[in-house]
Amino acid sequence: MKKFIFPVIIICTLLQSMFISCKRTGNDYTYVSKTPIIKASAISDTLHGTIKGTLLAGKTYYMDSAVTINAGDTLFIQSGVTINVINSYAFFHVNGTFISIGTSTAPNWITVPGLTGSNKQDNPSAAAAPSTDSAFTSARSWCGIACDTSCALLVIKWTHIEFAGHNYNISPMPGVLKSPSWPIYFSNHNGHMILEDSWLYGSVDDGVRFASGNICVMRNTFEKVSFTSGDCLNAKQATVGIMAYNLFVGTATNGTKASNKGSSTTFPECQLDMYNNTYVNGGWRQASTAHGSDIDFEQNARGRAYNNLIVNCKAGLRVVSSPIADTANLRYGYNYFYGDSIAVVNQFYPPGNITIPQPTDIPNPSYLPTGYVPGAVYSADALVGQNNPLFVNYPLPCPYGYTINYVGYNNPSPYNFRLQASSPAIGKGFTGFTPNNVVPIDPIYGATAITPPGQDIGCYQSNGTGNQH
Amino acid sequence: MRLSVKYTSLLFIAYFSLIINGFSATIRGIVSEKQNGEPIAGAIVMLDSTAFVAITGLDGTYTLNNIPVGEHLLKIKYPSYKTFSQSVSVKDDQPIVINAGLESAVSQLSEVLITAKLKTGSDEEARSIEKNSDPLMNIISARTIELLPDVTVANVMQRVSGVQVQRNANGEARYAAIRGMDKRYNYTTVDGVKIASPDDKGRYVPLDVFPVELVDRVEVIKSLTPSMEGDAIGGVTNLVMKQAPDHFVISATAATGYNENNFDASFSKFNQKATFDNDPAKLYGTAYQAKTSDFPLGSSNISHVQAPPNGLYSLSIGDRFLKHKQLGVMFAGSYQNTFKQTDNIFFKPAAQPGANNLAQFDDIEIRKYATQEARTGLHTNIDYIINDKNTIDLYGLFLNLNQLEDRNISDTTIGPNRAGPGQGVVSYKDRTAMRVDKIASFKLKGKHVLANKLILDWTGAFNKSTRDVPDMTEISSGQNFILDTNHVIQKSTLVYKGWSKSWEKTSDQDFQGFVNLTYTPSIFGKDVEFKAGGMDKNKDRYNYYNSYSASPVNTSLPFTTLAAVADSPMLISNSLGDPGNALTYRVHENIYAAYGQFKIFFFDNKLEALGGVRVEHTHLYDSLSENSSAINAVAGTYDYTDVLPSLHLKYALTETQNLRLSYYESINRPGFFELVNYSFAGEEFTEIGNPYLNHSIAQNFDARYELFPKHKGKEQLLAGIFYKNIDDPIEYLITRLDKPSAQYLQPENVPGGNAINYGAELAYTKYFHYFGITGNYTYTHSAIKVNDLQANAAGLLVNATETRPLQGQAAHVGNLSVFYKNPVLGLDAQVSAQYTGRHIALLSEYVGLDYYQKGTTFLDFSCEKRIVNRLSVYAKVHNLLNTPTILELNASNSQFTNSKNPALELPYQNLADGKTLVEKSLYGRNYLVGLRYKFN
Repeated sequence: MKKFIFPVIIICTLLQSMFISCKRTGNDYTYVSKTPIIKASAISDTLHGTIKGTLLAGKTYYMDSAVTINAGDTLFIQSGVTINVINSYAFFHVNGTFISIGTSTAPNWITVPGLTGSNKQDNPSAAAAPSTDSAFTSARSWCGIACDTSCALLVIKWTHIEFAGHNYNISPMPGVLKSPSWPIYFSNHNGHMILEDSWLYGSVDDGVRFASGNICVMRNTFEKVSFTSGDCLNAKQATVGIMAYNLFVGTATNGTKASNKGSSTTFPECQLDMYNNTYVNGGWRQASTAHGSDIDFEQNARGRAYNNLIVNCKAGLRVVSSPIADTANLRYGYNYFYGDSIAVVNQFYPPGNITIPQPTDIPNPSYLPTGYVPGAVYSADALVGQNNPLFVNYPLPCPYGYTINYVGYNNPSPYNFRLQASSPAIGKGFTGFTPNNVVPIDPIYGATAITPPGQDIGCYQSNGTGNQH
Repeated sequence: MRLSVKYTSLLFIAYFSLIINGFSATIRGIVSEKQNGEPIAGAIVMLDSTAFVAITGLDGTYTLNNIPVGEHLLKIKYPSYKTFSQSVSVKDDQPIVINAGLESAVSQLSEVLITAKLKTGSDEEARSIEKNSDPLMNIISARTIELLPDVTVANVMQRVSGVQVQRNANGEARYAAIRGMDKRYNYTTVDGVKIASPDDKGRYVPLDVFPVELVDRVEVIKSLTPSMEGDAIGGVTNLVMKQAPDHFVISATAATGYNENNFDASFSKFNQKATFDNDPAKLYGTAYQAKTSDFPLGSSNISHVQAPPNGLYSLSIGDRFLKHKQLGVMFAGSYQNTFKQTDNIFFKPAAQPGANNLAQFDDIEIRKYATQEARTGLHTNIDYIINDKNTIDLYGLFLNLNQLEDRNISDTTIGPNRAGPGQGVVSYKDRTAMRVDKIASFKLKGKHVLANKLILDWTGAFNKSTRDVPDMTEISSGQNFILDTNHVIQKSTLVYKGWSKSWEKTSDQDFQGFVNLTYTPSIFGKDVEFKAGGMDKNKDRYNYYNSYSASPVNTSLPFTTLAAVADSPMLISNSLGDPGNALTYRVHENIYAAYGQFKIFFFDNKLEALGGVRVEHTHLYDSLSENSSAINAVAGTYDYTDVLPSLHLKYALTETQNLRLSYYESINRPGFFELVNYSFAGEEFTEIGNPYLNHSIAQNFDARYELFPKHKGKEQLLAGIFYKNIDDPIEYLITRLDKPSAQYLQPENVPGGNAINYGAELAYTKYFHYFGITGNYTYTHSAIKVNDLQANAAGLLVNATETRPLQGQAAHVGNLSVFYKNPVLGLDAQVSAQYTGRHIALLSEYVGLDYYQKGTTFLDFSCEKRIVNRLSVYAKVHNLLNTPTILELNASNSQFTNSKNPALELPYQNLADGKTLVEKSLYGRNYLVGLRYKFN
């Protein structure tokens, strides 16, 4: 046996030395193609490729393919600029800073030429098929403004963004799918995003997707956002800020949604103050009843919701039970509900959710049956058509439940969602809280002003503040 | 269970017939083959001119009882062997032992043609190869396969020691994990040469495309020598196809049968003739705006068939021709047409658990699969012996698997609007898919004796595999079940939601060349073998994918029948298709290898040492076909060279016992698609590729004790241990890419860079005259530490680490078969049990929320009875217990069974151990009856 063991030991030793000397990992050579960082070129009348600089006031530009803004560079759009996007796969790939400063008298437009006029249908009672509406059909739209994790600042003021949401022809950045795409995508949790006094018209999925960020979305008008699913302002984990004084008309699902999905203690919790917004006819294109249609607090999200006016939306404010919102840090009340049908009024407190009726709500929730527990089914037939908020020009009662009931703001808007002087929503707002502002205040590089909570319910204030559209 | 009662009584009868012995003289002994001592089963032992006859058992034994006193002539006959004769003088009450060695009657052919060949496809041959092979091996022979209830090679694989099979949606085995190493860590060869994979993403070959009738034996090789390709960490599956015999042989089978689920529900068939081979973008160019009229829905018309019968046929013919029988030809063909139905329940996990890490679900899916599989296999082998020193072989293999699958899903959203059982938002999805896999392989091999003790052999091979999944169509509809104010569930109108269609084509082809030089000198009186060689392999792979979807213009269009809505105005959401999708990609791979190895014998040839080194260079280039410079990582180039040493020691403790020690280093290359920079929405997460993956490198150690009892050629005892240290193993893990709210599923080199996998194997086969028992057991252990997440009491996610085994690895895997083979009655019967232990079936990035598959035992039965000379009838019952496959969460189901909280209450939560059920599949029993004709 000795004779046998000895050579084995030798061989094992040899083996061992071989094993150690050969041990290594990794490849000898790996080359993965990289996006070439192209030095930005100056602006010409047709936008494409990597650019930086200023789009000059009052000029019209064409955008015929993807535009990249390098990290450290800025694209500055002065007032009165029109960008006509003429390629479905075109988008702004923002690694740096994107600033569009329109004014009330000279707003900016980023739109698709030829899709105005009759393509914008504004009839609130026509059961027009949304699938033929160019607001939702991707065939003639463009992709949007996609901000990478290096985008430190996105400022959009007094700007029309229209017909975006076309799928990309190739995944635009790591982990972002070709489809769905969103008119605005923001993903830097250290960055600032300001969207104010602007208009967003049409999209296929979400209107604005926040994959994180410090935000202020104020005094905007959102119309016909998302086709059959998707929210208007969809905020995920590590998104903190304000969504206030916005008008939402005819969204497929929610107007404002907060969800701490993907939550982690290393990043801030999703926390949003949603106040003085007006939501009209939301939720009807979403066939599923398992979705909200105006305000949603989901999965661990926290924040505040006050002074919101919710008219003929498919369901009221939702605090979701599964996965449960951060109910310990959630405050809401002074919200105003109006419904023109039994199906709407019986959803002011949507069954299956855990929204707690607030005594400050209008109407006062005393109509709920005794023994009511949050989420229970109830019947409140008597509320149909009650508490008309008295818009300046919009037909209420309005037949609810068309696949789409929408109104327009465009050229000129036939409707006016300001409140009549006799409106029961006037003077009912709660002003006793300070919004949680996380963006700088600056005429260009930040929010122009944070409009504090208003004394009137909804986005238009009788004192002239609030939404300026 | 009636069957097993019958079987038990059979056992008893057989047992008593054995022990009823008189007190008279007996003659007994063992009949074996003279040349190698292997026992011969089924030889006729008789006393000339008397009625005393016995047939030898599986172990070669026979007994003649009550032999009267006197002189007798003992004769032993067996086909193809010379009759053995010996005179016997019987005296009262004296047992006589006569062991006989039979001599082959076939005259020896040319010397090159191989020496003393054991009967091809026999168990004896299998044991002999296991015993004498250089690497570690387990083998299942053709004769064993015939008796197994299995019709594909994948099913056979589950019987092999150390192998765990991965099943498809129909419960049919598809891939093999060897020693706990997932399919990605193994490769498949046909007669020693890799074939191309039709898989659209990976390198692995689905083993269910191989019908068993083409195969002579299945070898599972668990250690690599330098002459073998180096990219197996688990092991290699080598299929040895039928070879040209030395005389005329023919065998044929025809069988029919049923899957029992086809009796319970009619079988859904779709009109595959109405599928379109190509999508509009392929037909008319990428700028073409597709119209609704480009997408007729004819293929989605479902017809129902009552209990369609399966049909399985095979034929193999072989012979040798010309004056000196220099030309050998073997042809084997097989056609299998089977129908199966599977019922499945699946709970889709929510993207994130609730507070305290409690599991939550998004959907309940009730799925039904109806699958028709038509499997064709053709194999030809022609060998030509040019002269004593030169031979040439030509092989051709063609496989076709045509799978027609109708999948019907009823999907209930578990959400706020499902306040209790019977409520919720339900969508219905009916998907029809035709998948055509084709594998073709051609090889030309030559062997030349260049000089005394110097042999050159070479192989040139061309392989091509394709998968075509044309016009896969899903039709969707939906409705709501909602409580009204009277607490009555109201059902809304069923609404048509539209269709989605996709086209996918995979093509993978390669040219391979091998050259080996073997020199066997004698140095200092010792036999030494030196071998050196090289390989070059050039592979091109192209994958094409495109998809379209449409929804009705009228979003509340009632769905009555497909025909009623088929002509409704539709809106195509992507009329240009899906250009630039990541599943349209190209790969070019070039692998060069060279090796040198020696084999030396020491200590009177008791110790065999085989060692050497192999060097493999890999060059791979991949690219997305939509080459856009605006995007990162559209293309990648990878080069790496691996130096792979190995040493294998085999020590013959005695003539029947071996002790083996082996070490080898091996690699695993990332899958083709894994390196592509893809992003797509998966079932639960967005899935992304990883262009920065490294290949894995493993150090493998083995020790095995082998016992092959003498004169008992079919028996064996193998006991071994193994240890593998794997650097950069690849697992699918969750990553966030610095986006707080994002979660992506991505193939990654495991953080920490290392995994250790070790275990032990035991295989045992024993015969008792007409009975036999064979079994194996494998224990495997691995632990990797991964970064996971966990929801705290507030429902917030905190980072956590979890230690778990490699994905898919079961700690315990075992097989046990009991068989009865009676050559007198011409009856063979076998009951086989296969156990696979608990293992991770679906990974979760949350601690403790992985989906585990419960341990399963599948029980199969088969028998064969000779009815007349050469013709026998056989029956196979697969899945006797109708074993369900159950996936569970390692968490109590109490939160889902509380009737006081109907919104959370879920159906089917009835596992006996109180765990949360997440998936359950029932495949049904399969019955098969057939005839076999065999002339050899």
